[in-house]
Amino acid sequence: MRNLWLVLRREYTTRVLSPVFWLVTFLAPVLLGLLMVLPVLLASNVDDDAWTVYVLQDLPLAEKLSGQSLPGRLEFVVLQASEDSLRRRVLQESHTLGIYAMGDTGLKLPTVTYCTNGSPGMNTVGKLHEVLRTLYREQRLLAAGVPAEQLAQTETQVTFKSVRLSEQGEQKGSVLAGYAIGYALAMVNYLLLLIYGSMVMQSVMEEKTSRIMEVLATSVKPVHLMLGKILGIGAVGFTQVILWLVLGTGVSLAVGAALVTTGAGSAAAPPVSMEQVEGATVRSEAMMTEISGALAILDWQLLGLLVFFFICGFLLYSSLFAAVGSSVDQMSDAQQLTPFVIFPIVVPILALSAVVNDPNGALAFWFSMIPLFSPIIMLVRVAAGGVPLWQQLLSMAIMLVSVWGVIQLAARIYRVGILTYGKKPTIREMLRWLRLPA
Amino acid sequence: MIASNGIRKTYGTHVALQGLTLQIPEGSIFGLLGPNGSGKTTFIRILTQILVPDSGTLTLDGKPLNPAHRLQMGYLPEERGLYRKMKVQDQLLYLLSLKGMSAAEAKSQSAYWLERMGLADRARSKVQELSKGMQQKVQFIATIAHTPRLLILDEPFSGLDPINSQLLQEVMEEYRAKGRTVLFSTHRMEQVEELCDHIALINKGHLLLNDRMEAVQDRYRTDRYRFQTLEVLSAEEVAALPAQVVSHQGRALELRPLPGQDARQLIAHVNAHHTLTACAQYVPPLKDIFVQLVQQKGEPAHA
Repeated sequence: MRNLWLVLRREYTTRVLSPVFWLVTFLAPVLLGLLMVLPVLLASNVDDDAWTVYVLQDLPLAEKLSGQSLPGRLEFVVLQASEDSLRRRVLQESHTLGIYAMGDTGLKLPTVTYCTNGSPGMNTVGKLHEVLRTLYREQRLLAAGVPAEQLAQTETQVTFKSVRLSEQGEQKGSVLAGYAIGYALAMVNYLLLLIYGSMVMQSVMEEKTSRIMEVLATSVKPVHLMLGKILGIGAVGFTQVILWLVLGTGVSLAVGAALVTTGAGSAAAPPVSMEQVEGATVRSEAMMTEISGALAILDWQLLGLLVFFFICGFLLYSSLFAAVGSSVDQMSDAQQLTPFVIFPIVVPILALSAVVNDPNGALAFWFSMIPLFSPIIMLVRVAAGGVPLWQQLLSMAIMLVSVWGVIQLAARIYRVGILTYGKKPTIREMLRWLRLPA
Repeated sequence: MIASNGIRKTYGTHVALQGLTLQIPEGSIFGLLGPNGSGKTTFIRILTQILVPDSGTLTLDGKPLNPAHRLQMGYLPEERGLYRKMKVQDQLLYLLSLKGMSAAEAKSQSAYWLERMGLADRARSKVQELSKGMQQKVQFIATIAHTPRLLILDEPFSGLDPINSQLLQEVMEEYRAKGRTVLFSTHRMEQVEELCDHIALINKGHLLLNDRMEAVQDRYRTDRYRFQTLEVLSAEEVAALPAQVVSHQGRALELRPLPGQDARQLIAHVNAHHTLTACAQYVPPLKDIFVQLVQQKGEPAHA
C-alpha cells in the first residue's frame, strides 16, 4: 500500500511540477477562448466599406429604397438615367452596385437584377437582399389593405418557456437547455477520457521503453504500479480540470464582456429603429433565460453524477489503456491496438443524437447500462430529464462492478505485458495472459 | 543462501532453462557465466520474481521464494533504465523508498553513494544529461543503497571504463567482506577468475558447472608446468631436460614431468641447471574450460 502511494505521488508530482503541465493548463483555455472570439473579431473587421447602390428611377421601389440607406454600409441613390449609363457608372466607380431591373410588387415571384464591378461581400449582399425583401413584403401588405401603422407590429419574436414536470413537481431548467447541457457534458467527458486515458498509456509505454520497468517490477507489485499510475494521472486530470474550470469561468466572463461591447459597437453604427432595439433586447432576454435555465439543470445531482461517471469512466478506460500500453513497446504497435479502446468511447458519441431525440427510448436505456458507454450516455439522459432513479442507481452499480472487474483483468495483462519485449502480442496472446496464474 | 532446484522455463517452443539446479552460498561473489542466450538473464529474472518458472523451486534460506524476499535483493538489470527526465537525487529517493527505506535513510544513503561513485555534483542533474557510464552508476546506487543481502547484477561491467570497472569490483569485494552475497552474470570470463568465489557455467539452458572457483581450477589443472629462465636455452639444453617438452620459445618453457617423476623433482632439476625466474603450474583459463565443456555437450552437469 505504501508503494501504491509512492507511485501515485511520483506520477502526480512529476507531472504537476513540470512546466509543460502549466503551459497546457493555461494555454488550452486561451486557445479555446481565441477559437470562440476569433471568428467574431475577424468578421467584425472586414466588409466595413460603404457601398453605393444606384437604382434606376423608373423601378417600382426606387423611391422607397432611397429612404432605406444605412450610412457607412449601404447608400441607395436614385438615378435618372438609362440602363446603359447606370451600367457604365457602376463599371467606373468602385464600391458600387446598380439595380436596373425590378419585378412589380404585385408579382408573386418578383425578380430584382443588379450589377457590380467588384465583390460586395456576403454581408453587404445579404443586407441588400434583406432590405429588398422587407420592402416587397411591406408593399404587398399595404396593397392588401393593412394600415401602415400596423406594419411595425407584424414583427414578432416568440419566447418559449418549457416546464419539465415530474412526480416531485416542476423541475428546473427548460427542455432544450437539458439537451444542450447533456451534450456539453458528454463531450467534455469524452474528451477527458480520451486525453487522460491516453496519457496513462503513454506513461506505461515510457516506463517500458526506458526499461525502468524491470527495476520497478522487483520493488512494486504490478497491480500497485498500475493503480498508482492510474490514480496519479487521474489526480493530475482532476487538478487540471479544476484549474480549467476556474480559468474557463474567468476567460468566458472576459470574452462575454468583450462580445457585449463589440456587439454594442456594431449595433450602434447603423441607425437602428426602435423596433430593432426592442427585438434585440427581447432576443437577449430569451437567451438569458435559456442560459439560466441551462445552469439551473446543473444541480448538485447532475454534478455529482458527472463526477461519478468521470471517475469511473476514467478508471475503466485508463485500465484498458494501461493494458494496451503495457503490451506494446513501440508507438506504432500501440496505434494498432488503441482503436480497440477508443472505439467504445466513440460509439456513445455517435449515438448521441439518437439518444437526445429519444432520451428514454430503448437505445438510450441499454446504452446507459453498458459500462463502456454509460459515462457519456447516462449524463445526457439525466440532463435531458425523466430518468427514473432506479435506472440511475442500476447504471452506477453496474459501473462500479465493471470498474472492479476491468481493473482485475487489465492488471493481469499488465503484469505480463510490462516485461514482454519484442514482438507485439496478438489479441489471442493477451487473452492467454489473462489466464496465467498470479 | 539460494538453492534452485530443477528450474525450467520455456518461451513458446524455445527452452530457455532446462531444469537448472544450483546453490548460491551466502557471503560469496557468485559468477553466472555463459555465452549470449544461454539463459543467464532468464535465471536472474526468475530469481528476482519477475518471471515465474514453468517448473522447479527456488528457496532463500530454505524458504520458498516469496514477494517479501524482494526487499532483501538489489537488482541491476541488463537493460539499464531510469526515468530520463527525473533528477538523479529524486530518482534515487523514489527507487529507494520503493525498497522500503524511509525518506531520511534514502537521503543519507544516496548522498553517501553519490559521493563514493564520484557523482555528488550531479545529484541535481536530470538523468538524460548524464553520460551512459554515469547513468549506469546511478542505477548501481539504486541497486545497492538499501544494502540488500543479495546483490544481483546482470552484466554489471558492460559499458564501464577500466576505472569504473575497478570501482565496481572494489564495491563488490567490500560487499562480500561484510558477509553479503553478490550474484553477477557475465560472458567475460577473465573478470570472473579474479573476482568470484563460486561460479556456475550455463549453456543453452543447461548447467555445465557449479562449484567453488578453486575446485574448478583443481579439477581442470594440468600436469604441465611453465618455466621462465634468465638464459635463453638452446634446443639441446631443452632436450637434455628430464621431461616431456610441450613447448619452448626463447626463455619460456612448458614441460610435463616424465611418468614416475613428480613436479618437485622437475622443478629442482631445472633450478639446479638454469637460473629459474618463474615457475607455475598451467591452469587453463576459464574460457578454455568453458569451450571444452561446451564441446563435450550432452554430458551431465556436475553439481
